Amino acid sequence: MPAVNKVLVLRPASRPVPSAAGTPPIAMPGLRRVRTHDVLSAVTRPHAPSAPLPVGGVDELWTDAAPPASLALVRGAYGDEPLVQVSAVREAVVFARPHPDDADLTRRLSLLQRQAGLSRAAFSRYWEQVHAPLTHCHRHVARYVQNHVLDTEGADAASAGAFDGMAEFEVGDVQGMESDYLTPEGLRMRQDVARFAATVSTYWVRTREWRLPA
Amino acid sequence: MTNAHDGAASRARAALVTGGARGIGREVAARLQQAGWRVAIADIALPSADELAEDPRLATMFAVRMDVSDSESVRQAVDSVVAEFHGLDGLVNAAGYNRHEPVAESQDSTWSELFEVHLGGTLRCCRSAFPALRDSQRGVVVNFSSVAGRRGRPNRGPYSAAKAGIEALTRTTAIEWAPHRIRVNAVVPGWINTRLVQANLAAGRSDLSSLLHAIPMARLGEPDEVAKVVAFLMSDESSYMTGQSLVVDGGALINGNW
Repeated sequence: MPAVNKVLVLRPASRPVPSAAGTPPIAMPGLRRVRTHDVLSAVTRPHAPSAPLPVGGVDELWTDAAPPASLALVRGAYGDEPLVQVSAVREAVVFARPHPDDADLTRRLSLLQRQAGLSRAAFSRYWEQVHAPLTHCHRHVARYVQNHVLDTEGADAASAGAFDGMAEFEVGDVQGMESDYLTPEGLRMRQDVARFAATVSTYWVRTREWRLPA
Repeated sequence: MTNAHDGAASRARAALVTGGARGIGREVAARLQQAGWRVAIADIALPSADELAEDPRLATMFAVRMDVSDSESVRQAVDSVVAEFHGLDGLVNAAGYNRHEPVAESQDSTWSELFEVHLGGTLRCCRSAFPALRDSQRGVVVNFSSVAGRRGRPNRGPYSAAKAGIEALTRTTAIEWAPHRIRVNAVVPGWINTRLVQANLAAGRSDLSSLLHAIPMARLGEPDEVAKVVAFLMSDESSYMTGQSLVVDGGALINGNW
C-alpha cells in the first residue's frame, strides 16, 4: 500500500453547503480522502493576535503522491480558483479520547505563524515537543491534532505571510473547553503560545468528509 | 475508614500501554480492554485516521502522544492518563524499535537512542507512573525484554544490551516496589510476526528459514500470543509473581539444536 501524504489547502472563501451529499468538490489522480472545513466564525483569543489574511475555508487532502508532486497535482485540481496557501504537511495526533458519535463534535481550527527568528524546523520542534504536552489541559477536547508544514507551493507563499502549522480541535463540550483555559494548566499553555507563534488565527468550522477507493 | 485502596478498588482498573498504537503493544492494549481494563495507549505517532479505520479497536481507547526518550513528555502524558482515569493501576512498557549495526561500526547516536528508548524509556515511564501505581495498592507493571537480550545475534549490540538491562531493571524495581504492593515483571518475546520483523525479513536482515530452524515450534509467534501472556502478568492470576521474566518464543531459547 503506498504511503498516504497530506496536503492542506487554505481558501479565501467558504463553499456553499451542497443540497445533497455527493462527490467531493475536488478530483485528482491518487486522491484517497477529502475533508473540507468552511469557516463559521472567527474566534478572538486575547493571548495571541490573529493574522490579517482572511481564510474562508481549509481543505485537507490525502493523496498517494508525495511532495512536491502532490502540491502541483493539488494546485492543478483547483484550476483558476484563488487560494491562500497550498502546503504539504505532517500530521501528528497529540491525544484522542473515545467519543460515541463524531457527529456530535464541534470542530475548531487554529492556523499558526511562527515567531520571527525561528526557523520552520525550530518552530515545528517546539510546537510538538514542548507545547503539545501542555495541551493535555484540554480535558473536554476529544481529539487534538497538529499539522506541521513541510513544503509550500510557490516561493512567495513560502517566504512571507505563510502559515507554518494548523491545529485541529474536535470538541465534545465547548463550555468545558473554555473552562479548561482558566485552570492553572490552561493558563500555562496559553502563556507558552507566544514563545513560538507570532499569530494564531482560530475559527469554528463546518466539516464534511469523503473517502475514495484506492 | 477509607483509604486510597478503597477508591481504586471501586473503579475499573486502568492501564497505560506504551507503544500501544502498533504491533505487539496494540494487541496488548486490545487484550487488556477485553479483560475489563480501561486502557490508554501512548505512542510517539498515534494512529492516523486510516489506521483507526483499519482497526476500530483503537478508537475505543484514550490515546496520548508520548516520546519515551523525553522525561517531560513522559511525565505530561502519564499525568494526563492519571487525570483521565482518576488513577492508574497498570503499566505496560512496550515502546521500542531497533536499528541494525555491527559493533565495530556502531554510531554513538544508535547506542544512545536505543538505550534512551528501551532502557531509559522503561525507567522514565515507571518513575512517572509510580505515585499512581502506589496509590492503587494493586499496581502492576510489565516490561518488554527480548530473546535478543539473552542470545547473541549479529548487528544487535545496543538493542540486545538495552533489553538485557530491562530484565535487570525489572528485578530491582520489583524489590523496591513490593512493599507498595506493586508487582513488576517482564515478558521476553522471541520472533513475533510484526511489521518490524516482516520488514527485517524483506530487507534480508533476517532469514526466515534459519529462524524457523532455531524455533522448535517452527513458526513465528503472533502478537496476540505475547499479549495473552502480558494479560496474565497484569492479572490477579499472577498475584504471587514479581521480578520474573516470562519467555514467549516457541522454545527458541531452550533449543539445543546448535
